[in-house]
Amino acid sequence: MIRLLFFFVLAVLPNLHAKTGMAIDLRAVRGSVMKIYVVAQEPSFSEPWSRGRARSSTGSGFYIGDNRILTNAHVVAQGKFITVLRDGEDHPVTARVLHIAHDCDLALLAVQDEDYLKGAVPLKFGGLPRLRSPVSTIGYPKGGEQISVTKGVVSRISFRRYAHSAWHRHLLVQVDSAINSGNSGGPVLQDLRVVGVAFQSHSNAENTGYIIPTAVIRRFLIDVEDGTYDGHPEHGLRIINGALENEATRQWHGLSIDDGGVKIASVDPGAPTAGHIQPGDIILQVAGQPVGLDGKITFQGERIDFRTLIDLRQRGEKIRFRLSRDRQGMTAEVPLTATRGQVAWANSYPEFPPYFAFGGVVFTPLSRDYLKGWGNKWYRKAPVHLRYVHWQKEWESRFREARDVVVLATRLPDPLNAFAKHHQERILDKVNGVAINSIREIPDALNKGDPDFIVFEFFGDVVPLVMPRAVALARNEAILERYGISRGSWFAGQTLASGNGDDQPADVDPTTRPVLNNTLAPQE
Amino acid sequence: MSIVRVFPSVIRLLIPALAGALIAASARAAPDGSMEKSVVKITTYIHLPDFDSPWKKDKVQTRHHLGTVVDGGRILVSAGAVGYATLLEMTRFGRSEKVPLRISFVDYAVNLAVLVPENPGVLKGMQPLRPGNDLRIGDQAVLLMGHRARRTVQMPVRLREVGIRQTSTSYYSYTHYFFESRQKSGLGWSEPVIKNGRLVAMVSGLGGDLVFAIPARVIRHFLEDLGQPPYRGFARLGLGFRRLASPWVRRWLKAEDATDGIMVTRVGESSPFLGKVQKNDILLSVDGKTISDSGSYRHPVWGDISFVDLISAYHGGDTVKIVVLRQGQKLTLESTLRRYHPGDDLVPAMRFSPEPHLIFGGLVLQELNMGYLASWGKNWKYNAPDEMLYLWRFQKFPDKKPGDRVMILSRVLADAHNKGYEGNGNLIVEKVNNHPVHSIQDLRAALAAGVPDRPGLARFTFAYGGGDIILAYKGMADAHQRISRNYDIPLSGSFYSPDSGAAGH
Repeated sequence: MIRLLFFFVLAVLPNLHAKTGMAIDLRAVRGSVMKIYVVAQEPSFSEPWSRGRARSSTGSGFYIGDNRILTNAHVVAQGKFITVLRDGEDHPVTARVLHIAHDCDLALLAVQDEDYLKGAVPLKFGGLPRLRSPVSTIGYPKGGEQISVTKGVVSRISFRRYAHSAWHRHLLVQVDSAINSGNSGGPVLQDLRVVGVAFQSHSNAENTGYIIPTAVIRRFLIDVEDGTYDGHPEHGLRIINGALENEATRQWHGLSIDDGGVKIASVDPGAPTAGHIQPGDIILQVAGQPVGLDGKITFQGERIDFRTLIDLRQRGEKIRFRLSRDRQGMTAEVPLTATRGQVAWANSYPEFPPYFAFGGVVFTPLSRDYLKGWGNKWYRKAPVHLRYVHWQKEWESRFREARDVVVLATRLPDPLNAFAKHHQERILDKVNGVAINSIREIPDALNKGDPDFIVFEFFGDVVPLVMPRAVALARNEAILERYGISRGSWFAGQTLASGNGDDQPADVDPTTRPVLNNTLAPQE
Repeated sequence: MSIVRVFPSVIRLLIPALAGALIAASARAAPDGSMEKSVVKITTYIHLPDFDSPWKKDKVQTRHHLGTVVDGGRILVSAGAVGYATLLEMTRFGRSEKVPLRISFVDYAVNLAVLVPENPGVLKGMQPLRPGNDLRIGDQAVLLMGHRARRTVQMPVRLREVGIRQTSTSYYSYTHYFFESRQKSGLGWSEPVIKNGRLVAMVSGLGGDLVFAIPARVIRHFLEDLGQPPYRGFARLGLGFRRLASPWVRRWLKAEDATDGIMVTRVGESSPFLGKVQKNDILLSVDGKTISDSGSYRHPVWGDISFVDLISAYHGGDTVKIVVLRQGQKLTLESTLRRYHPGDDLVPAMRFSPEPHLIFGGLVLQELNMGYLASWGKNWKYNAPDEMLYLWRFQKFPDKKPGDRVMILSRVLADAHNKGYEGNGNLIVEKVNNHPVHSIQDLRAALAAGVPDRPGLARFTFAYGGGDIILAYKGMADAHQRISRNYDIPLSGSFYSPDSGAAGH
C-alpha cells in the first residue's frame, strides 16, 4: 500500500528517564494503547470495477476519550474489517472508522462495544516537543506480541510531505532513534503527554522516524467536530526559492534585504488563494508573522515554511497576507474555502475509483492512483502524454478548467469495440461533440448528438471511436454481464444506470466537495 | 534535477556498435578487387558537443566508414557520418595515402551526404557506381564491408522486406530496405549494397537481425537533385494520418461508399495543406494513386506498401494533387510542397553544428533538441523532464515560424551575481524582458532591449508556472570573468555581451 513508509517502533527499556529524571510509569498509559488488526482491500485502478486481493495488517492506536481511538489513516485505509486489542486484554473487539483524513494520515475509530474501553484513561495532548528532548513511542512492532516502548530524541521540526497521501505537506517532527520494523499509529509521549503519533520513516536514512505533531492532530480533531472531515486548506502557492536573496531581484520589487518576503511563482487556479495572490507577488507577512527571505516564519521557536500557518487553519477561516505587488504594499484577506476539484495528485484511497463503462470501454479519471498502475516508477514509466497532462493540466488550455481528465482505461473486448484497440490510455476529448470536463458528464453527453452514432473523440492525433447507437445501447448490458461487472458506473458512492444523466447526490455541491476522489473523506 | 552526463544515445543510434568478426563464414573477398575500384575508406574525426555543457565538447572520436564513389568525382556516405566532423579523410583500398575530404553537400532529412577529395586526382582510375533499380523482395545482393580492413569483403544479403523507417538524422520517414544478413554486427558504416554492378542501397543501421539500408531510389533522387541546382530535396505533407479500419467511423464520416482511404488526424501548422485539408478528412489518393484503408498503395515492384513511400519521390516545389472525402463530398486539393529542412523543426533531432547557447550572469540558456534530451542517458525517453519529452513527442514540428525553437534554462552556474537562483534548471523559457523568445537571436535581441520601466534589470519568465528570474546587467562583465575562470568556459562565444546588440541600460 505505502511503499515509502516503514512503520516503526523504537525499542527501548521500559524504565525510561525523561528529562526530569523521573521514570515513566507505563501503567498509567498502557491500558490506553491498542493493537489494531485490519483486513483491507484495495481496488484495481486499471480495472476499476474490481477489487484487489484482501490483505491483513496491524497497527497501533490510542484512546483519547469519548469512545474514540486515534490512529493513522494508512493503518485503517480501505479497511473492510477492523478489530482493536487493548493492552492487557485477552480478546479484541470490532471497531469502525469514525473519520479518516488521508491528507494528514490520521483516523478516528470507535469500538462497537463501549464497555471494552471501561477504565481506559484518555491520553492527554502536549505541545510541540523541543529539539533534542527525549520522547517515548509506544506501540506494537512486528517481531513480538507484547507492547513495546522505545526512546528517541527530537532531531528536527519541519514542513514536509506525508507519505500516505504522497502529496500533502504538513508540519512534522523527526525523531532520531533506532528503527524497527513495526507499527504506525502509536502515541509518542513526553512526560506522559502525547506529543505526536508515530507514522513514517525515511526509506533511505537510518535512525529517522517521523511523528505527526499535536498541532496537526488538534486541527484534525477540531475539523471533525461538526461530524465531517473537511481537510486541510490548500494553499496552492508555488514559490521561487531564494529569489529575494538576489539583490537585483529585490531592486526590481523595490525591497530591501530587511523587508524579507518570499516570491510567488504560480497560484493553483483552483486554490482559495487564486484571485487574491498573483504570480510575482511577494508575501511579506502571513497572519501577522513576518516571512523571511528563506520563506520561513518563526513557529514555536523554530524556523518553519510559511505555508504551515495556512495549513494549520480550518477550512472556512480567513487568513491575512501582507503583500508587495508591483512595488505597492497591500493586504489580502483570503477565505480558506474548499478548492475546486483538480487532478488528483494525491493517493486517494477510494472504495472504488470512479469509472464509467459503456459499450465495453471503461473510462476513469486521470489520477496518481491510476498512474500507479505503471508501477513504483510510474512517474517515469507511464506514457508521457498522461504524465504531462497529469502534472501540467492547468497549463494545457484544453484541461485548465476541467474537473477531471478522463482516460479510456480498459477495453472489454466485444465486436462493438473491435476498433478501440488503439484508444486505450488515450484522453477523452468529446462525446457526441460535447467537450468532457468530468467523468460525470459522460452519461448526459451520450444522449446527445447523432441519432445513429455515439462518437468518442480523443485528445491528440487519434481516430474517433464510433459505435452504432442502437447496437451499443442494446449490447451494453450484455457486455457488462459477460465480464462480470455488476455496475456500469461508479461516481463516488453513487451507481447509476447507463444513460441516466442525473448522477449528482442532492446534498453535495460538486463545486465545493470533490467527492469523486474519495468516498470516505473528501480532501484537497 | 540532476543532469546525467552521458554520451548522447542519439549519436549511438548513428553508429551501430563495433563488434564481432569482420569476416563471416559466408563472406568472401572480392577475387579480382574490382569492387575496390568503387569504394574508399573514410576516416572521420568527430567532435560531439556536450549538450549538458554546451560550451564544451567531448573527446574527439575517430570513426571509419565506407564511401561509395559516384559520378562527378564524388563520394557518397551517410549524413550521420559527417555530422560534427572536424576532419574527413579518405584512403583507397591497397594504398596508404590519406587525402582530406570536403563536404560537398549534406541532406540530414534523408541521411545522405556527398564528399569530394581536396585532391581530385586521387580518384583516378576508380569506377563510379550508379544507382540501380528497385530490388524485389527475396532478391540477393552483395553488401560490401571492410571499412576497417585491408580488403573489402563481399557479404551476400537478401531483401526480406521494405518498410517505412525514420532516419536517425531527422524526423523524415521513407521506405528502407530490410536485409537479412548472416553478419549481425560491425555493420552500419555506409556500406554499399551492390547488384549487377549497380548501387542498390546504402546501409544506414542495424536492428535485431536486420540490416537497414537506404534504397537506390532515394539515393538517385538525392544525386539527381544535386545535378540540377538549386537542390529541391525532399518534402513533407505535414499531415497526421491514422488507419481507417472501423466501418462505423466511415459511416459517421459519410464515407461508407468509399472503402479506401485513411483519416487525417492532424494538419500541421507548417503543412502546405494548412487551410485546405481538415482534420477528419479521408485521404483517398495522392496524384492518382489510390490509398487503401490501411494506408497502403500498390507499388509496381513491392506490392502493397505504405503510401508514405510516395511522398519521398516529391521534391520541394513539386505540386501535388490529392483527393479527400469530406462529409460525403470528394474534393480535389492541390498544393505546392516545400523542401523539408530538418533545421526548421521546433525540437530538432540533431543540429550537427555547435550547440547554440548563451550564458547570462550564470544562466545557461540553450535550445531544446533531441541531443539535449538524450543527455539524460540510456533511458532518456523516460527520465528527461515530462514537458520536454511531451514537446519532443507531440510538438516537434514547426509551430508558427519554421526554425523557431523552444528555449530552455538548462542550469545556473552559481555565482554571486545570480545568488539565490543556483538551484534552478531545466525550465522552459517563455519570455525574456517580456518578449517571447524562440531562438538565441530572439534572446540576444530581448536582452539588448531591456525592460523600459526597470532599467538595468533583465527578467526571464518560465513556462508552466516556473516563475521568473531577475538579474542585473550591471556587474555582469565581472561575473562573466569569474564564471569563465571558475567553470573553465572560454570568454569568447558563450557569454552575453551588450556589444552584440544595443545596450540594455
